[in-house]
Amino acid sequence: MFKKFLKKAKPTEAEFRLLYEMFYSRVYRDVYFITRDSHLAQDALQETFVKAYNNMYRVEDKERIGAWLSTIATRTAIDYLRRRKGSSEILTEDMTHNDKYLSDYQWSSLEDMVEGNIMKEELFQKINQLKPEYREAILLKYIHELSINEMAQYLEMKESTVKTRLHRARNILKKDIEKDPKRSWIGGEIS
Amino acid sequence: MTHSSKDQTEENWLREYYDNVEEPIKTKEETWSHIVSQTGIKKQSRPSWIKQKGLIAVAILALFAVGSLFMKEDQIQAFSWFTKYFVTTEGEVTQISEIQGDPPAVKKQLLPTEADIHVRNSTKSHEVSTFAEAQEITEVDLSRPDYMPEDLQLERVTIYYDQDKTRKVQSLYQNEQERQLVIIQKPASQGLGYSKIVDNQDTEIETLTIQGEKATLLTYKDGWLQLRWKSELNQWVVEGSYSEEQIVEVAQSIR
Repeated sequence: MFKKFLKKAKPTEAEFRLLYEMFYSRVYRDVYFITRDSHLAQDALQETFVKAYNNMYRVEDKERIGAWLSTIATRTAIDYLRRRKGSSEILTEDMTHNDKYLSDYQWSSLEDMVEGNIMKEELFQKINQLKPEYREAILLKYIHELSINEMAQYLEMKESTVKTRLHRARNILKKDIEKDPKRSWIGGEIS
Repeated sequence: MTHSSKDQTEENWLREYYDNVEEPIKTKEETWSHIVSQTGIKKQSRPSWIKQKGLIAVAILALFAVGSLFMKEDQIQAFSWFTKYFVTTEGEVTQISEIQGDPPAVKKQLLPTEADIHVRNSTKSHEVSTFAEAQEITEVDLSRPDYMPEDLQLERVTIYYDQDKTRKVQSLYQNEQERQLVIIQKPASQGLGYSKIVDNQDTEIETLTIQGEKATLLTYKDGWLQLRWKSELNQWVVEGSYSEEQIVEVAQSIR
């Protein structure tokens, strides 16, 4: 019993504050990536750290605590999306928000700029339209570079489910864009 | 555009999408307070000496002096596995380290052995006289201070490379009497860890907050001050023989 108590010991305030300082920005970006809504993201951000505090004893691979936190963040964000009525609205909103940084990109020619803007806008629009679970898969795989095995482990699902989600997410993102042979993206093997 | 550069561009777009977020509804501190209230983390009250600025250095040095007597190795390990910053004292020297990920094993001997010394090969550098010129040749998004003690002018900006990537950018400010102030910007992509060993007898160590981040101010016996901190994207050093207030003001003004 004593051993069990020790195993479930929670971090001190100083320890948890350091974790918070290190991962605050990452967790906020993660939950915002899923929700695209600052109010939902704020709620999910807070709950992610509360869950993390209560479950720190479960972390076995200390070097992957960021990956572990990100999966809590995405799960929590998806839960908040589900709780909100009419959540489908969220999936198509916010394109005007993205416009503001299209102009920041540097282009070598007008043709590149036009094509590039269209493609980038298409990509952003498609990500916005992805189901949250697919967006989660894209985030964990391509931004945080988790392996299939890690995603399955942390999300507590089968590897085959993770692969299926990634395939579907990629197919949606590639659709239409892929018709033009120059415009293929997110290729490669799922490993 | 080649296939690989295309993939890279699209990966950059994905990253851009990820990084482009609205401001959080609450501040970082408000969020922390909420988390504390939800988890029941016990607040650890700060000792009153922290508020007494004049005693900070003395107290920290005293803490270092006795700290190693009370801190067991396993406690250091348990605490520091996600710690960015830690301080260890042995005898007359203090090691200040910032790490990412797992920390190195705690060494009984702080001073490096021959096996600990690594030689960096073929470091290139490029020297220019303005920020604009520097920005044209480095991939790092350069920041610069809004405040500088009145008599100092930018003398040169030196960009150091590791292979083709910028390792750090050093800006040297100088006045007519050749009094200098240096700002170093090191991108996170090049790793943020560092370790420094200082002599307790010749150096005062103070912990400050710069732009919301924990910072370390070292004051050497000869009046040279070195301030280090880490932002999300960069590691920073501001150093020179200026007052603490001036060094801190320069640091706080970097945008």
